[in-house]
Amino acid sequence: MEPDDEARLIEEAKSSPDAFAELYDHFMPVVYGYVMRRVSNREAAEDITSQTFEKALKSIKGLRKGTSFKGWLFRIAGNSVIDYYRSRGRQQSSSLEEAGEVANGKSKKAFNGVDNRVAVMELLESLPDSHRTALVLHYLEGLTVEQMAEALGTSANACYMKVYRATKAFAELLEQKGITRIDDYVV
Amino acid sequence: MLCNLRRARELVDLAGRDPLQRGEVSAGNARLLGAVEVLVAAAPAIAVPDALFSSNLKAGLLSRYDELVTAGEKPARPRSTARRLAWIALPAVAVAVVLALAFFIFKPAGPAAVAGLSVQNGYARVTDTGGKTSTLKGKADIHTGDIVMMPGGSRATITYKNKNITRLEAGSELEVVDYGDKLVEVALARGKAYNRVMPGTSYSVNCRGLTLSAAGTAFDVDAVGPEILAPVFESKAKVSWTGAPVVVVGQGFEAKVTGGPGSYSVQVVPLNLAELDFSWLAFNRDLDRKLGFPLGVLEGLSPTPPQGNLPPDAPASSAPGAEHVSQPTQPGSQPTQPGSQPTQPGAQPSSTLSLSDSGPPVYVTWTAVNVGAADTVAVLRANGATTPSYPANVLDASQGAGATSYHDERVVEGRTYTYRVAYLASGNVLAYSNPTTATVPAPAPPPPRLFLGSELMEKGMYLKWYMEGEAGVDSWAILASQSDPDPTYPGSTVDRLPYSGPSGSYVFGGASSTASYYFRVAVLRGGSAIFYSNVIRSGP
Repeated sequence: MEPDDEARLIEEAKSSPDAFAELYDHFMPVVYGYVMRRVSNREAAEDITSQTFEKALKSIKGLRKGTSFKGWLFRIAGNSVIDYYRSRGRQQSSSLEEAGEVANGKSKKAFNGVDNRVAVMELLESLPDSHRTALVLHYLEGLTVEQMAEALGTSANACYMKVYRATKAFAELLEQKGITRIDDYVV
Repeated sequence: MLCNLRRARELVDLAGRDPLQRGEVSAGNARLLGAVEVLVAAAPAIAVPDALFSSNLKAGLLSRYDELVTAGEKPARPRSTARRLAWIALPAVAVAVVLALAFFIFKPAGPAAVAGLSVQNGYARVTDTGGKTSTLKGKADIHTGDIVMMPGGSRATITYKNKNITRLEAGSELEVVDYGDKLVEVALARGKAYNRVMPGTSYSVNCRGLTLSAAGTAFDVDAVGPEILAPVFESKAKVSWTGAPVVVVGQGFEAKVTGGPGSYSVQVVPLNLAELDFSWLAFNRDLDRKLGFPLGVLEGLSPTPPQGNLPPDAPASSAPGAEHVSQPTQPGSQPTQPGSQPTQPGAQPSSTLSLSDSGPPVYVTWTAVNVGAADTVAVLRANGATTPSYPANVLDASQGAGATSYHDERVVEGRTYTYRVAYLASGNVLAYSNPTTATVPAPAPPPPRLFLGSELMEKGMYLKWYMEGEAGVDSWAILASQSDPDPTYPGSTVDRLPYSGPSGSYVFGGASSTASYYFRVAVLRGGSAIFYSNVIRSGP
């Protein structure tokens, strides 16, 4: 969606359900994909996506001009994901705890190289929240630093630094595990 | 901090570029970019929402639209609180007013406008020197460095402070390069510009390396085709390029420039108005006449289009004087110009549109009947079942009226669009086709895949897996066999685990360093294995 079209639709959506519907059609799959990546559970992802758009509609009149709609939605969705984990008492799957062992080098040797996607994604999960969020938003969800700034409620310069530091931390973890590439493997 | 910020910006910039476009990359950045590539390659595909969930949520939100939007508005404060706040706020407001006044009185002046833009038909897109593009209708200011683009069916006039005028035809792009009290320099990237130059001023148009200049004249620069055409309607103009003598073109003559930079050749021939675009000439003649300019050879332009230019059944009077002719041919179509009167019912363009929606792109085809009076066909598109209209929903307006197809590649799979075409004359709608709706097929979700990895630990073989995609899984079956290189469910099952997410792990304690095992994981649904992971082999 062109920035001009997005800005126009946001203004129209403050009084027009049709304009909001158009924004929904464009951004809902993106938000859902992001939430699904964070919670890995279809039902939870659907609940959080619903909450995100409901909150967005409640707050849309206060949305100031020039705001990145995608970044704003990701901010609402990200907060809802945090609420979701809080409500579950921070239950993460046991595999993630085990991944911590792998990432911290407690296991005896590097992962068997048949397919190391699992190990890479678990290394990502083992990063501190702020690093993981920066990598996911920028490299996997494709948000620009300006959109990230909107999503994280900070400045663009701070987002540059977050992405840089997170990339360095992630590169160090990969080096510890000796992973330099992904082996393609089709089942 | 600043040094780190510079590095951070450099990394983000490099990561956003195609690897082939990165140029020389430092070792430090290469290491970080390698990590980014591993991350992106390992990430599972983005999950696609269920279509039913998507449509139900949308319907629910829209049915509660008023309630939700209103719920988000802040309630008015009680009067007593408002009064208290007012006492606190009043001094602050007074200070703010004083500061605002001071700002307006002493603020540094921004760049001054050098011209006014007046959009006669359609709309214009103006990109300023900061790269910001605005879509404009009506009137707007133009500054040095602005680039004005005219979409199909649109026309506009730029009137400079020194009274010179540039008029832009649909499909044109022009930059205001320089401006002074007695100077206008513009660059025509494409399209057609009519130039009305005031005596005593220097006015030049740069186009593909040529300079066309004049003082006190009216001339056209037409860069639509491979040739550059410069008909001179009043007084005279000059054509020049580096390393060549200046060619002077007098009133009633036309310069035809062929070739390219370094190999230009110019031919000056008598002007034949009948060969030029009547609609464009009449548009400029009528505006010049209103402004009291000498018309030169445009005085001789016929008040109506030459009959020879029209098909036998086309309307006889579609000249600019009658240019707002609008007659819908399809039920539900409407003219865009209020007060428009059909002149010759039955001789208007008509069209029947059809679509191929078998997948992106959408192929839009239509028939064209009686399109002689039209100069452009605009393809219109709106989201959903909404009927598109001109000019709000223009998808493409670059084709002449004789076109009968368009390939729309800018569609999103799974979305519904409604198309129709509008036949235009001088930016006014003559007729619409029927609207037709198409839904672009949603992409088939990728088949789910299960990736298995292993690690030999003290307590046994550590198996870990990750599923990509959605498969409606009930449980996992851990399979192990010493003899079967493709262990299957249920025969080789050593354990079953309930599904709790797309990844899982298991430690197989029965393995020894002297025995070989084949492992894999089965994905179970309804008691059956629906697919398997890759096989891992352990042991000597």
